[in-house]
Amino acid sequence: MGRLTDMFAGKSVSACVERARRKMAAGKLEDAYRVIEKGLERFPNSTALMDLNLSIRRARAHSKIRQLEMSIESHQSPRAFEELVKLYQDLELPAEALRRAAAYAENHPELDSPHLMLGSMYLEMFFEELRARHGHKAHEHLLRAAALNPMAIQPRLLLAELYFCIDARRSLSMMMRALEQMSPDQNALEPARAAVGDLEDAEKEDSLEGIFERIEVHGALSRAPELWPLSKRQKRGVRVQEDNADPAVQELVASGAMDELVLLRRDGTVLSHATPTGMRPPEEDEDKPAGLVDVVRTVATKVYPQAREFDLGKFERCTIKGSFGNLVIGRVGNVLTGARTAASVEPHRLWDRLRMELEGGSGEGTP
Amino acid sequence: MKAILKELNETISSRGCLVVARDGMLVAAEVEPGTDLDRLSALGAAIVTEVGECLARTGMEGLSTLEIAAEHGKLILAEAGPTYLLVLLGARLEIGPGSIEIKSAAQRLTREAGLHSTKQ
Repeated sequence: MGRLTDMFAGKSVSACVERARRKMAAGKLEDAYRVIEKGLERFPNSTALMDLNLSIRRARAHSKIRQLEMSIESHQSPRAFEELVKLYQDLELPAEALRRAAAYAENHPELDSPHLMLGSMYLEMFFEELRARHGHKAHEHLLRAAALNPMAIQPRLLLAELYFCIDARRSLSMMMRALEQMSPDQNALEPARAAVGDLEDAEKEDSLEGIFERIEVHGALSRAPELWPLSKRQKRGVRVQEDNADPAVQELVASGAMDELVLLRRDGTVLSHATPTGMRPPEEDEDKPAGLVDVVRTVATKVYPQAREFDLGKFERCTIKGSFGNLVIGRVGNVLTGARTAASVEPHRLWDRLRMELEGGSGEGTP
Repeated sequence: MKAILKELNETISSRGCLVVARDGMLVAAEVEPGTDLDRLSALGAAIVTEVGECLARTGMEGLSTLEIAAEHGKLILAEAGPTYLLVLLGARLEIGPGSIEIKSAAQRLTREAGLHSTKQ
């Protein structure tokens, strides 16, 4: 029993997920973990598999967390604080990581390390959610880390990245000069120098407060963090391959799984668009978006920034139901997706299917 | 109306519910103390207006529910006659825009307002 399912388990993301879930339901956590690890070898960008992997890692980390919490309680050791913060980050529990890093900073005001951790975490949150208060916090903690350790390069690199992404050119130029004076390896800074290029001639810039507020209101950074060449921050990177996306989109609509499907790049241009009547060229009128493209853009640029005020954290998807059927709009890795189906289709299932197909590439993993 | 909202909060363990007019005016609410109700109702109405106008532009009229799912929770807006029912939920709750409890509350609110929704 199980040999046949073993043979086919790795054939698609959904098969791996189903199999791992069955193992988990039966209480076989280690077996489930092995299935997921194997699945991730084949589908490294699958968020469904990554989510399951994370659930199991969290379950396994309980005793380690308890041990570190006890050590902190008795000794307030910086090492235990750092280990615990990193563990929470690894387990993707940002609120816990922030809480512990803040306690670390409070207990060890002489150390730069907790401020570097806090600055780095707030920077990640700022890039993700574009909230001005996260930008302020990131800036404040990174400046504090740099002040506490005048020879530290890392907080200055993160500050340079922040200034680059929000187009604070004068601050960026000053930070680059400071880094060039400090860095023992001048060649290491060369990619950053190239990225900064001719931006350095700015004579004045708005206050950072004003820049952060403007970014929150407009819902976009001046430059994507991916363009900063010295970024060392770890990301759970899911990228939809442009070459593979189009056939997957075409197949999904042709199979009847959805009535219409559109993929937009981060800059809002159409990557792929399919309707039952056939593919539309990606070069459709970008200035006057129509139909689903218009709805997806409206959700991304108008609805998400307003909904951000509800303090719900990072957005996953938006589902709209009406006499026209169901629309599901959300981000899969580097693309924004929008799908339309009949009212009878369960939107949550549609979203799961969409994610799996796009992460699986060409759609060959369809169960 | 408050009784309907209170019952909905208890049934689906929502963080709070509001009834909001289409112009953003707050009609009724059952939320935790300290919540900025005017802000929430204005934001809810703005979201419905933006999406409603966009759908009308594209010929997809008749918005009945809208759900925004995020890491720490969900926001559901359901049409309730001349108003919208706004529900705030925690992230772990497996309740979506198709929830019978939310639909039922929206229908009761519509009846209470003395109007019947002509849409789905």
